[in-house]
Amino acid sequence: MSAETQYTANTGFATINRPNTSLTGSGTLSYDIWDILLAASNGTFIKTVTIKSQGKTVQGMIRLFIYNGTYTRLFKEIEIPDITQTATAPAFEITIPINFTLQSGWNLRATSDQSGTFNIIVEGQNWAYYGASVRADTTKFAPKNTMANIATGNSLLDGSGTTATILTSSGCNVLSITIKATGNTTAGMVRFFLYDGTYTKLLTEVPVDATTQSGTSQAFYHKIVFNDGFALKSGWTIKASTQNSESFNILSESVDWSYYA
Amino acid sequence: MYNNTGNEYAYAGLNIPISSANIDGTGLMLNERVKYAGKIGYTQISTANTALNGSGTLGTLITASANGYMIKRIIIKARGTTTQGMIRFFYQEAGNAYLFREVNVPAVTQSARDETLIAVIDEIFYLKGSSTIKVSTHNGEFFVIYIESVELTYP
Repeated sequence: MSAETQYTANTGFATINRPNTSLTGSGTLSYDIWDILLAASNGTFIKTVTIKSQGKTVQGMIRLFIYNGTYTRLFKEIEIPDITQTATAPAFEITIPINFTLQSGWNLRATSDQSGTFNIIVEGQNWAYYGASVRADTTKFAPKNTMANIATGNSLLDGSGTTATILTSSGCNVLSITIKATGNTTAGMVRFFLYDGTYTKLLTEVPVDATTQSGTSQAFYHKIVFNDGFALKSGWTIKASTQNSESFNILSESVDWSYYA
Repeated sequence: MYNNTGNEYAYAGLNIPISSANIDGTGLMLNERVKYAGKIGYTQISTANTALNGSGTLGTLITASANGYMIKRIIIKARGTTTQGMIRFFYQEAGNAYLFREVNVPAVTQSARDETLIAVIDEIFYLKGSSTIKVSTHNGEFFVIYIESVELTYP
């Protein structure tokens, strides 16, 4: 039996908004190439990278790089299609499974080949070892739900305007988010944001269909399921907004995990 | 890595292929110490309630203990003929009840040879400790609602 491994959620994000056509990782940090996540002391397991545009996109590329403290090397490219964002058509978004262990002290960086504003969100896990003794897994899961209602129209994609706090993490795995209208809906959008205590960044959009609720016709319903969960760093928050002034209940489902002392 | 413990349905952790995370050879957060206790909730509802805001007559389906429950399944069984309608589920925690799910009820005529409506929501859902699931029927028709869950505790 090995020493118990204890995990901690690690989330990183940045907004990139200037073009950089380099494949060598050249550029000016925080101007046209951005640090997204710095690996922790044992390393950080990068589960997924989410790319979310904050508006219209043209054909282009997002490039991910790994910086080892000396060199920046191209790691992955993600093609960006032409998409025109509107009040009823979501801006480009994609979540890519990475499943890559980033060495301690190394950075994941990102650039965009074309102009445009993109949120790059990295979901990761740090790990440490229980040192006092050799013992088996002591993970404890505690179910956690939060419910909020949103009803004030907000057309903004930058996280400003009226939003509601859905969930504040204490280091949790978010399993699902349920959106349920409480009446008729017109074509619109529900938007979800991540807030790290300082910055709010668009994570995902859910198009809302026009529905007429009755005793035989359901009000709008959608469930976002995070396969394998979304590890949300402690202190980070998920917020939500509605494009139209229509009422939605937002129910989050997550599990906090902890370990014996 | 392959999870050979057979507990995928209860697994809310990570499936990390890191060799250094050698927890019994699987690299997983196995949640090994959990103890499950079966918990069944049920209620009978028959009072028509057209509200979507959690007001009116609601049946209490289950209230999770302080540890929280993992809900495995919800079964809706009509106790007679039904007309087109809706069953609504609400989440409640210290105050208002919030609609989170609806299930369509079709018109079904019960007889000695025709069973009444049965609908199953077969989804795992983690319910926070001390929170409640409630249910209502749009039409004044009789339904029995069961919820199958397990309580999670640790030594």
